[in-house]
Amino acid sequence: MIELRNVTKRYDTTVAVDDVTLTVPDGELTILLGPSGCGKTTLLRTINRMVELDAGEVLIDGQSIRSTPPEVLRRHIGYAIQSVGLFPHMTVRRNIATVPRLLGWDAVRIEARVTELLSLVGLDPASYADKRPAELSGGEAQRIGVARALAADPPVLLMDEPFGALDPINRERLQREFASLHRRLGKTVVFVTHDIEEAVLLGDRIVLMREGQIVQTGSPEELWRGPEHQFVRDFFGDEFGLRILSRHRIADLEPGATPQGASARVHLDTNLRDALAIMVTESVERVTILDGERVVGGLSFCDIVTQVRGSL
Amino acid sequence: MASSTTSGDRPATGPIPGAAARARQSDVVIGLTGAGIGALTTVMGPYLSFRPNRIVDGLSQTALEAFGPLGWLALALWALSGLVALTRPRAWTGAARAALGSSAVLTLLAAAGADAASFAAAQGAAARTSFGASFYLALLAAFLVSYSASAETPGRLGRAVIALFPVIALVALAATGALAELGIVREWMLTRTTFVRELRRHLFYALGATGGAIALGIPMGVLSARSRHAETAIMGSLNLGQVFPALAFVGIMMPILGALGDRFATVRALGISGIGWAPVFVVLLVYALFPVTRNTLVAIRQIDPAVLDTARGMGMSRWRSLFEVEMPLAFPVVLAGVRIALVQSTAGAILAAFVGGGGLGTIMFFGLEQTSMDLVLVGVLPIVALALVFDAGLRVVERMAGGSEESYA
Repeated sequence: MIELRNVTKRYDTTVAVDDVTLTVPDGELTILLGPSGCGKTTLLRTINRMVELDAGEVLIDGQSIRSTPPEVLRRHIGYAIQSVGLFPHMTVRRNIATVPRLLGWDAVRIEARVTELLSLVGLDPASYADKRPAELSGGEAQRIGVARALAADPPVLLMDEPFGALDPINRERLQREFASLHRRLGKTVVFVTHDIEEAVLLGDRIVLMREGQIVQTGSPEELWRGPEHQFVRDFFGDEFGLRILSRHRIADLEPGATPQGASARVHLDTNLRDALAIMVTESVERVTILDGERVVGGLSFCDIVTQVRGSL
Repeated sequence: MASSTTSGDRPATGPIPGAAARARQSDVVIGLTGAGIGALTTVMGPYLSFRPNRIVDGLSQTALEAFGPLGWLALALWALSGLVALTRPRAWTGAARAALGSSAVLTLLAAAGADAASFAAAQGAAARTSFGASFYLALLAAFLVSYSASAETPGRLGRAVIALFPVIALVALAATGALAELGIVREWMLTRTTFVRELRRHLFYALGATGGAIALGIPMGVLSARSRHAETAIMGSLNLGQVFPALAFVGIMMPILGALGDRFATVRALGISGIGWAPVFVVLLVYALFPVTRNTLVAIRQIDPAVLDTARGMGMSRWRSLFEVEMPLAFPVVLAGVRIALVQSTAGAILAAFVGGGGLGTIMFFGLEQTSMDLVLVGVLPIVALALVFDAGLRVVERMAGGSEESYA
């Protein structure tokens, strides 16, 4: 668990982070979201002491981060940034092995870990380990960046717009892959972004910030259902509901009656936003739900609209 | 996760037809110019001068006058080289015209050696047979021909042959003793003991100043890259050092070092005093510091900030980041600075002769006093050769080190 208590950071006359108190629960993916200049990156960087505090304190598992020298602290916190920052003169293998080398792992253990991580991020170890960063595409480089951040199996991962520089198709693919990776590994992740879609898709919790302060904290559904401030409504906009739909599958709803006659068929795993899109495209109010090949019921336009606000 | 292979964003590379044609044209022009100059220097201008001794004026002759049939042969070789330059380039044409040009010079060199031997036999040991302006222009012509020929030669082997053939042939010619009676060779033989001593001193200045510049300049460059205050102080003083004329700078150092030597016995014990090696060494060091420090500063500043951010963010200490990330990335550019410092110090070490510090400049000034161009060249040619060798050698190392550098540009 990461606890930030009354954290403040000033630069000359501007206050980048203003008396922020926040708890990041273990194993959750917490998004720091807000417009540029809202202090989200500064707040992230206080956690691994890349930014030193002017006031307040940060605790990891109850222990102040000031009790550990910054270099030692950082070796136990994964770190990935938008521009990746791979070391251009080192092979992919050596890049990934950076923190394990700093921690003094032996060569056999490092090699095994590099192989494991490359497979984890979907790159073939045999063909990628000896490449140089210049030989990688943007998406590949970012995968290596994530693998490098995970190298020493840190319990906490800090990510600053890691997918921000990718083209939309690669970005979405990496987002989905990262979401499933997070579910498998159960790391505590603090993730900075200004991209609402990304925040709603990935976040277990969203911390919405403005001008160095937290506006509201909660799951995407909580922010959607109960915005405490006009800024929350304005920031997420009218599409918020649609974005929430993309977080949930048909399986999350109570199935309704199977529609009569021929109709569009969708799978249980389809997300609600896609299901809605199919209805619009096919001009139908009701679709048939399949579990594998078996028909398990139906879903109507009304089911989505009425059930979503109540049950999700 | 599936492996993504989006690498379609790399630029296509390949020769641009128009540019290739223009390059080819300029090769022809340079090759023809070289051959033309070669031919002209054979028929006109002082090629060789014969003097009974160093002091008196002698008889100057053109190559045709001095060598007769061999002169005509050289003329034919130059003409052939020009003709080959006009033909369609094939794999062998570059090497052929380079060999023709070099052979023309070597033929005349051998002929000059023979003439010098007979002149010496007639006139005795004091006789001097010296090259005139036309000979040195012919050398330039041969260089132009080889240079343009090298550009149109595809293989690395072919280019190596073009570069090495004249050198090897010259060494072979010298080894037969055919050149022994030429003025420049005689002066070299006479000053051989001095020459070796002064060459050593010269190397001490060049390598010592560069070594010192590496030892001091790299840390100063790193410091400048880390702090604007340090940059202002360090680069400011080095810039100031650059604007002093070298000789004036030595003049300033002389009383300072002299006073230090008089004041402290330990300083004196190191051989530091107002004259001799110390003031020259200090001045060369200050000059050499500039390229090394500036290149280190620039190289570190050029590193992608994201790379430095992640190095720190993953838990590297400043030293670790410096040695494992910053210095390796800066290396090719730092090396270029070292190369400039070394070439500059090699030429600059001539200064030492002004203040009794030795070096090859001593031989050069001795030659000037004696009005012996041959003796001047015995001092100057090795300096030029050293500078060229240092430059080429370090460029090769840079290119090898830059293999990774190019890929992250």
